[in-house]
Amino acid sequence: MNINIEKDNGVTVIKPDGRLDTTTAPELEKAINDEGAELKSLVLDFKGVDYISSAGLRVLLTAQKKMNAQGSMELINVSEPVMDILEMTGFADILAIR
Amino acid sequence: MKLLVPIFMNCVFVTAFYLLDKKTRFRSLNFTSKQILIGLVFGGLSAFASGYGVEFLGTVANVRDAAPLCAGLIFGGPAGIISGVIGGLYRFFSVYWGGGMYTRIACTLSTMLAGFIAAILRRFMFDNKKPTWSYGVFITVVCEVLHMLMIFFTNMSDSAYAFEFVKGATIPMITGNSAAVGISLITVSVLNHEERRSDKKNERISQTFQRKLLMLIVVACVATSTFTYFLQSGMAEIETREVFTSAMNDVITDVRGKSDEKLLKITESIRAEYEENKDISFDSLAEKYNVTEINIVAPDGTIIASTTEELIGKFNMNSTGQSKEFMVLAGEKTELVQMYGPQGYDGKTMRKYAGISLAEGGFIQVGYSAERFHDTLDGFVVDVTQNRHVGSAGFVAVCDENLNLVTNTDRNGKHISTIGIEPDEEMLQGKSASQLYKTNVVNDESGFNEEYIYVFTFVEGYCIIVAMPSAEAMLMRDASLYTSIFMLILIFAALFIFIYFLIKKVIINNLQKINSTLSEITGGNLNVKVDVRSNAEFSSLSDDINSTVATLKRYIGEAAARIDKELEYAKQIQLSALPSDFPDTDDYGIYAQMIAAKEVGGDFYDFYTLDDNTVLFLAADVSGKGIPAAMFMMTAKTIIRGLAERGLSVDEIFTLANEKLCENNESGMFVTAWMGKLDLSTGKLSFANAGHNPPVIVHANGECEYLKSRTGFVLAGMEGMMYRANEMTLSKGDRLFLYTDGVTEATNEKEALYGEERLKSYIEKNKTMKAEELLSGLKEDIDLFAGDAPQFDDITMLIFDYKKKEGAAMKEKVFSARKDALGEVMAFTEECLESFDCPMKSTMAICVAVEEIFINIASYAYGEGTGEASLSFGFDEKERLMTLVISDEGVPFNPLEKEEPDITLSAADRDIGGLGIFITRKTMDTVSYRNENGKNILTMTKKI
Repeated sequence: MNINIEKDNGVTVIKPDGRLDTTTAPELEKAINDEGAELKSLVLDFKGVDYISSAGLRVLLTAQKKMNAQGSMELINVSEPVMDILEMTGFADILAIR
Repeated sequence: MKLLVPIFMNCVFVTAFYLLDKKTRFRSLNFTSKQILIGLVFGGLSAFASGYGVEFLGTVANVRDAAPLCAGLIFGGPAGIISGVIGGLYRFFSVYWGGGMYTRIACTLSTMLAGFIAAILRRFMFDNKKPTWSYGVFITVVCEVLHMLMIFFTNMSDSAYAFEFVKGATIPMITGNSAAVGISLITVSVLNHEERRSDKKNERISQTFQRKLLMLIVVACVATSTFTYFLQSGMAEIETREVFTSAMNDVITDVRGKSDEKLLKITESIRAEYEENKDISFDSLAEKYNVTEINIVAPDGTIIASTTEELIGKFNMNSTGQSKEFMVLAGEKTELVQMYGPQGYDGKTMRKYAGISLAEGGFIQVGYSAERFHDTLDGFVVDVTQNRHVGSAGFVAVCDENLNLVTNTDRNGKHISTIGIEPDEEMLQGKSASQLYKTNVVNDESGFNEEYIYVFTFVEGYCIIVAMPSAEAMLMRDASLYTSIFMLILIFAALFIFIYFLIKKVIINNLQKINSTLSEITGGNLNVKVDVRSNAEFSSLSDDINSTVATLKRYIGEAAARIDKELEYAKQIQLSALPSDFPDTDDYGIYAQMIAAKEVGGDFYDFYTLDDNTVLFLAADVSGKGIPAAMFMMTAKTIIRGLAERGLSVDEIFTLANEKLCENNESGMFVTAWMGKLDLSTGKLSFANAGHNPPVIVHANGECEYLKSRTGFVLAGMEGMMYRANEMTLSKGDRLFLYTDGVTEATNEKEALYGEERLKSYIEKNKTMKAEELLSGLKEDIDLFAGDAPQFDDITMLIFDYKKKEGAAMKEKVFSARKDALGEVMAFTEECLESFDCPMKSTMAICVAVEEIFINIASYAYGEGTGEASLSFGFDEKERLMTLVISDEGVPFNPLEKEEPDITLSAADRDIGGLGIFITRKTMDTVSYRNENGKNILTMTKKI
């Protein structure tokens, strides 16, 4: 998986590209964790994500929990099939999706 | 000179109307109004020309007839007639404003006739085209001749005057009118840029005849006229001579009679005085009676007494011929008068003698010279000659021996040269001559200002001249010459027209009939017959042509039969090249038919299997017909098959086949083709279209449509073409119908096409039929549609039925149950779903389910050990129901028994466990678990 990270004014934008499945989810998790405790505002740009499985959901949940403690997290550009999964699993309610 | 004005006007008007008709809107006027307009204008011109002429004997020689002739010959019959009638009527009424009465009727009629003649000749002789100038002049001459003859005939009572008129008017009128018509026709020809000399090769028979005939007639006319001239001249001379001779004889008789009578009377008086007194003085007697000589002759001829002393007793009357005549007086005769002539004594002295016998025997002879008796005779001679008429204008003149006139009172004593007679040798010598002489024309007021013909005779010392004007002498000759030339011209003109029509009827019309039939034969209709039987020559020509055509027809028939036979062989060879062993397996069935048109064509179909799983089939149509198309078809078929058997894809097959077919394709032929390659197990069909008709696909569910796709260019059309493959998946029971344009373009008698719509609806209606039945049924339907119209093109049809074995859509694959095999699993899943034509949303949902279940198995089923997981996809095309079976041989575990996670919890409280199964259950329609033979089998279905 290709992960692009941009930082701007204290906002960190992480842009994963590809399927977010069992194989690739740990990569995203590592990228988020690498940002450390200084991370105050995280934006996950899902423009390139067209597939998400429960492994991906787990990373999102972990990240949300982490950011709840140290700042805020936002999910943007969510594609329709991914959104379906998020809604179906109630994740749409616990994530800030824009 | 005055005639030039109307001639010029005529030409100007002809030119003007001709140009109007050619270049301006005038031409768009209808025929009738154009004719009337031209008729009126030329009628006016004709009237105008009447006034412009040469004054002649009280009437005017003019070119009135030219205008109707021009109008009729150049612009059309009606115009000519109208203009002729106007010109004629003008002439008829012109007597009220100074027109001559003398030729009124003749001129009126001839002007009208000119219009009619022009109209008739243009219509019947010149096929409604304007004649060449030479014909125009010829016609004009004939019209004018007719005109002149009419002047003759309308004035028969006064033929001499009429002739005078005709003689004077003929030349100016014929030349004037001919010039007007001729110049007009030449002008029009020049304007029309006509070839001045026609090419002999292109000359029509009628023209040749006309030309030769015209030449012949001109020669005949000239010859006849010359003959008439000489004949009539001779006759006129004889007649004139007779008139002269009789007049001369009368005069001679009269003069001699009087002269003789007078001398006898004198002699008688002298005899009486002598008999009374024999001694009377002869000199006094001679003086008294004004005679020159008195002799008394004895019965023996001796002169016994005389006024001439030396004769007495010395001269005997018998001694000279002249004096011997008198010796009859010594016999029974009592008196004798001799003509004036030379005396016998000296043979020179001119004397007139008379003698009377004496009572005592012997006789008395009295003689005197001309001077003496003329004195007494002149008055009488004048009387005799002055009242004598020779012909109507001839006269008799008398001169004395010195050729001085004695009879013409105002010229008495003058030499005869004053009346134009130049004496020749004979006349000077006083000898009479028998030939005819001509006078000189004396140009003074004397009345001798024309040529006279005369003869002269010397009698009694007078020269008597009988003369007559030459014109009068030759009047009859000239009159008959004119009439005969006129009549000749008319007769020859009539003859000309008659022969022209005769030739036209006998030869030209027949030739044209034969020509038109021949051109019909040349045009390809060998069934027409030439049938011209008006005479033996044409009958035999007709028969010859007919038999030639019949022979030709037979040969053509034989050749055609031979070609037909060879084409039949070609057709058989072509048909035998097409596969006729149609496969019908559990997986698929193919049935095809090619119904060739009458001629051998270039349609073909083909099919072959590469392996158990791949079948290719195609339908193609080579452009054109006949042997070349059939041969090209063989090449194309072989090339395509060769490429296909190398296992290439359809696009590659077409691309390469195109390259090969383009090589050496000088004849510019091309092939349209549709080819499909089917994977029997998956139903995946890839196909390519090279300019061919789209096949009909009948779906298993009964829907029927044209399989339209991007069409490539025809094969062999252009080098370097790239073809594209299209793909689709066939479901069980799908049927493909391939065909060539012979089906859709079958035509009925109303030129209507069978068409795609009709084809589709027929196939749709009969979709349940077996392939074989469908094809024959469809052929019948096409035949029914076409009716009696012949089959124009080959009809090729191929049906491919995709049957697919039961469960054939089940795709199964075994993976090692490890997380890192997920990639392979997903790829397989996606491949399967793609072959089911699964929508993207469902694909993702199924992929998520597969991942969740597979990761579950990989994580837990085999604990620390390793094992396998099997994925099996099934798809019911009809229901569009996907069935997924995932099995493993790990520890028995029913994921469905796991508690559902609470998805309403906040993020902090949420646990990730069980979410995978949850998603699976949510997205799949049904999920069921069973443990069978130590296998965990999870079956899921979803309608996609």
